[in-house]
Amino acid sequence: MSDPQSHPSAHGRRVRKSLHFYPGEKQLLWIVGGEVEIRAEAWGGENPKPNEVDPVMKPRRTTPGTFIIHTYAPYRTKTWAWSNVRWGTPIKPGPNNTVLYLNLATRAWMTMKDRHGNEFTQDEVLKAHWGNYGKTAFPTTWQLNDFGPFSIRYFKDKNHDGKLDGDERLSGEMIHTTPENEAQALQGDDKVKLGSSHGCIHVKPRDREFFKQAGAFRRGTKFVIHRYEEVIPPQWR
Amino acid sequence: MAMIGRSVFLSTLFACALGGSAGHARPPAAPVAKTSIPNGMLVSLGGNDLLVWNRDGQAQVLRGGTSWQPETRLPLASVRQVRVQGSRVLAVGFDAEREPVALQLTAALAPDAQWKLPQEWFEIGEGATSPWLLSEKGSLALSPNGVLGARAALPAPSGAKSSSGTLYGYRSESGVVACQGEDKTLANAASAWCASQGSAAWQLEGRFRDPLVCGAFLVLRTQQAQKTEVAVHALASGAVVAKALVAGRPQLACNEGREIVIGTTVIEAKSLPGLEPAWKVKAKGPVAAMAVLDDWIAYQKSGSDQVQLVARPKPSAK
Repeated sequence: MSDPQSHPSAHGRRVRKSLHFYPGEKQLLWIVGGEVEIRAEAWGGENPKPNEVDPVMKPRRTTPGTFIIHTYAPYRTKTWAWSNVRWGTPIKPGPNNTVLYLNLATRAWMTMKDRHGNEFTQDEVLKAHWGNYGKTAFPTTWQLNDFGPFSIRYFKDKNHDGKLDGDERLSGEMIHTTPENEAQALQGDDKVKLGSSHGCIHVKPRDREFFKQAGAFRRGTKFVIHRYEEVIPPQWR
Repeated sequence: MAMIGRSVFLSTLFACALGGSAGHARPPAAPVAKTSIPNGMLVSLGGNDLLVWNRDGQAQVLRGGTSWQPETRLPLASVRQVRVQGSRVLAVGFDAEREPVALQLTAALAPDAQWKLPQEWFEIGEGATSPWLLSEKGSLALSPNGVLGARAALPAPSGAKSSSGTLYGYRSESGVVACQGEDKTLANAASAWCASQGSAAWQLEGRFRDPLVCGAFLVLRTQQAQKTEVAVHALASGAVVAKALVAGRPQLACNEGREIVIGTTVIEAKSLPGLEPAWKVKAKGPVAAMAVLDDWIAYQKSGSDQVQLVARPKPSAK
């Protein structure tokens, strides 16, 4: 099997490639043959401030270590109410201020609700959509998934075989954009203001595409998350 | 303009008196009125007049519980909220330029005042004698002649952070009670809260939604799997005075400040503050929207183009 962390160059030689995140310096680097090919701003998690309460999940610093990129795909989770449905899923107003989404498997319109059964209201969706995009019409697709259109999942390769197997699990931390940043990106890349995460790695929408096109999110790519104290070495500055 | 269905026919509804309903008359058979606005929002306009509206601005008034007026269009490109404040009908929404606007409407739904609003997400405040709105930046009085009045800070729990939850405000002589819904986003996740102001200020946090002030009480509902907890709090202290579990996800409405009307597959009233059962009638399907009129409870079933009217027993005086 070929080494997924290296790729043939134009001269036929295999070139080592790896992705590096320096959370203290808020930078994500795509290293090809020892050189920085892409450098982008990226924000990790921060521990909660004193008296800061999060009713769902306590924020934390992004976990350091060496990981393997696994998937680049839309993400959904019941943990976060607005991430229960994939980005881009068709939605429409339902009866009495409810919101319906199209279940793509069954082609049935379902009521959007959180894990406690609380139905989403059109008002809260309209308010968030207006806040992000300044649009007053009810959106036709779901654009409030907290993880943006795509998430990049990775795992700790305990047995060093490059595959997700045995007792290995995908990390709950992942690389993704946010709905606010997706909306800001439509106004221009310079309008995108990244913020701290709960432990994930936030990137700008355009940068996510650059890294993807460069192959940085290909399955099997080596991904190093450095400690917050670590600084980028001189050769990569 | 669309032709209006005017058919009104009789439908027999099961009605039963429950414990605590002594003195209530059994509800008589009720009319069913067909509207051209399915899945609308229902608002009592006072007396037996009912407004059905939707976000596209379609609106229709049922006069006296029997006669539909011609369908009309509220002069907003997008309607967000319609509420009756005293004798006024207030609407907030956006104009054709997507600018936020508040309108005061006559009972015939003709605009008689308009306010251009700042770029904020406003909700219509309740309970005041003069019209007011609220946003995350505070309350905003609507003065006559389209003039924006004074701003004032809203009560909020200490340390409350910016939230995407929708706001609710109720103003009485003793001050304002404000509530904000849960922020469901990962970035700003926050519990719902209600808070009052003044010397006996109180605050509540939880997963509750759709606050409703009814008489001297604040009614909050919290979803618990297939049931909803309805909690009655004293408006003066915030203290819980009664709780009840209701099947499904009910619609709630206030009946003369003395009863909470709960709409599920039945419509039942519970007396305040103890939530003792008062009366109950069977609904013709799951209640999706509901409004209390003088003599009727109006409701719409999910997806239906019919507004059902159930005779409303009067709450017994205490």
